[in-house]
Amino acid sequence: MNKNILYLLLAITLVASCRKDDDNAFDKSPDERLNETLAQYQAVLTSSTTGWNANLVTGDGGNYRFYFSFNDKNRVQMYSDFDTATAGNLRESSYRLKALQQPSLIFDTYSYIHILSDPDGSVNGGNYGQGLKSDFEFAIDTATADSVLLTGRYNGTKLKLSKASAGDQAVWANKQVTNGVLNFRNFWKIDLYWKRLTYGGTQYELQVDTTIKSVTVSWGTGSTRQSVTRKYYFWANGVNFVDPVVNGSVSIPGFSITGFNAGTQVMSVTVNGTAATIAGVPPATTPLTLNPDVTTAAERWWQQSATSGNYYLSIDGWHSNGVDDAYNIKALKNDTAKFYALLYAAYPDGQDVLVNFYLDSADNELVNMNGSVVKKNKVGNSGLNNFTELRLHPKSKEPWPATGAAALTRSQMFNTSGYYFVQSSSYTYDQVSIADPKTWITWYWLF
Amino acid sequence: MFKHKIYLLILALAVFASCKKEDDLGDVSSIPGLGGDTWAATDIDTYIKDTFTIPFNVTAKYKYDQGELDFDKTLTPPREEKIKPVLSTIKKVWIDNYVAEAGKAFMQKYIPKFFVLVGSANWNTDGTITLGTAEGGRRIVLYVLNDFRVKGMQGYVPSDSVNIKMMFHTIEHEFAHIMHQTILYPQDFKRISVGDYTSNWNNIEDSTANEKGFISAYAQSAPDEDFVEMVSIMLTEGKARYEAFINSIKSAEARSKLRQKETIVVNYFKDVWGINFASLQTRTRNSINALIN
Repeated sequence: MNKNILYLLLAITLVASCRKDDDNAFDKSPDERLNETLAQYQAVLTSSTTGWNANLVTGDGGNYRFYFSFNDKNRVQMYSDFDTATAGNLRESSYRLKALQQPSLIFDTYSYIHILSDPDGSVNGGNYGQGLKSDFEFAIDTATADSVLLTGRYNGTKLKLSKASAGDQAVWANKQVTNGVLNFRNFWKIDLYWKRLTYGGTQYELQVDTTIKSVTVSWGTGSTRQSVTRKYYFWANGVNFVDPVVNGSVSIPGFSITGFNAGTQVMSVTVNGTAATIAGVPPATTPLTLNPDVTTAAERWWQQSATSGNYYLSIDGWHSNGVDDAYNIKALKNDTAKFYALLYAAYPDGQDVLVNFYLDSADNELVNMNGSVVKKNKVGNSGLNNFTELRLHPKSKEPWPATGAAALTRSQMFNTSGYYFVQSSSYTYDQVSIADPKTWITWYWLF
Repeated sequence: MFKHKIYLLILALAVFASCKKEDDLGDVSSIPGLGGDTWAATDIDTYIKDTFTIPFNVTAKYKYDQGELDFDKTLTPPREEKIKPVLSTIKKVWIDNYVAEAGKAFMQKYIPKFFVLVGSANWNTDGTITLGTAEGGRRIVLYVLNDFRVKGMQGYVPSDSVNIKMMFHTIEHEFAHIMHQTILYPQDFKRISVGDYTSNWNNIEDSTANEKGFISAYAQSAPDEDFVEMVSIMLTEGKARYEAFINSIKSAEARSKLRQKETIVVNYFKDVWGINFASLQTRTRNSINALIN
């Protein structure tokens, strides 16, 4: 009898377990909704008659500015602040929207945006096989009427589009961005290492990292010292910060460059339409630098090498008075070998090593040509350091010569007035002379 | 017992009743991307359609599609202005010459149907670059289109001729694969260098392979590759340069082996396909010369 009940229950369960209806959570199928989304994104992209301003941040943090104008025929027109040519010539290529794992925007034939991704390092200065770790296939995160946020599908590049005005379009078309790229080159013609923008009676130190286009702006003295880092892009005859630098009631969105006096080495700029200047800081100034990071940079530089067992290299030697490799160290050679790099390796026991390495072309081997065992001395708390030569390096092939590039390099290194260290990019430090701030050496960290 | 049968019957009915009969797929035509990507056609699309798709049922994908490429590589699409020059030289050097020697029907039947065009080189982890690859006799991927320059184009330097020759080397190589996979070359070919084939070919210099009776290091990887390397290099280098190359080899045995292979290749083209190899070689080399000299 019990069995009968069981059979009955089973039969009821089976009948009840059947769902006759097949309702979606949404009132349309996934495909229909995907098509609607793509159509909506397409409509947003083509809606701006004056195009879009775009900020692109690569996987490595490099910042680039673009202008896009999309039409409904899969064509896009583009400018980019990559160089003078891409900033001044409108280029047309193709794009399409496609349902990949997410609705995606693909720039599908070569254009300015592909320059950053080009695996040929000679095109963009990136690594061979990789480029600058950028993207040209983007997943669309959000799209509203006046802004679109996208993420690169391969390297995670961030792309932010915001609706451009007719004025923005004109800035590109009138080659003001090209002028910005050109004018900013004069910044590097200021021979003094420390450079300050003087605006509204306040001095702002500018420390520019060209590898990712960022600038560290520092101002104030003593306890009021502060510093902010902003990505920048070329704009309207000069440079704009992605977000303005704010000092109390003063906001600095960037600067337009109006001129450069090569004789006095003063760059004339306008900030918010008001005249201002950018100039080098002469040696006698106290303090030389406003950047609070400098107080700790030397110690960081040294610790990185001492704790990891790796070393710094300089392939250009000392820069002085606006001349790279001022002592012409790259010309050093003997019968079989020629200059390869200067090496600095820090050791926890304080017995550091400075070596002038040659590369032997016959057996492709590095030669310890001349070298010293060195001690780094911290002087005060401002970040100032100098170096003393303890003895010659025991494994060097020859002692330092008395004259020439190697001798000058050595004596510069042991200049007793000392050096500030500045972290000038994620993998470089600049060692800047106190006595002569037109002289510095760049150490590369390749690890 | 009978009662149980009744229950089982009822149970079966319940199971059938619980089964849903219809499961509508919905409107399949609304699936995005079904049937391939679409875009507003341009001059380039029209050109590919008129020059390749209509006469030969061949298409060329020049718009970036990650699905056609290595997922772990950084690559870029080609510049639009390079596409027509590349495709028109492919037609001139390869398709037109085979059509002239073997007839249009031959080409329509055996031509690889799908070209993928890539702007940048394909960089390998060892720092070398790949210029072209092919799969299954159907798909050929050509790289470095953005550096494609022939004589008369802006910025042409003599070293660009290497890129051009490599491109046609790839195409002729893969097309020869299709031919021998359709009708195999005589077994005698495999006996000429028997025992010398090695999977270690990539560590061997071309010059070392030459002295062993191979036209290139890659030819040493397998008899099939040996055969198609013979075909592709003889075609792209032309008679005169091929003869000079043979004469530069020191080993008499290697020269003799290459001559034997050459004879088989020439006879294979004539007996199997009715193609006059010497004439095809002259035409192909002349077309390449027109691009680089």
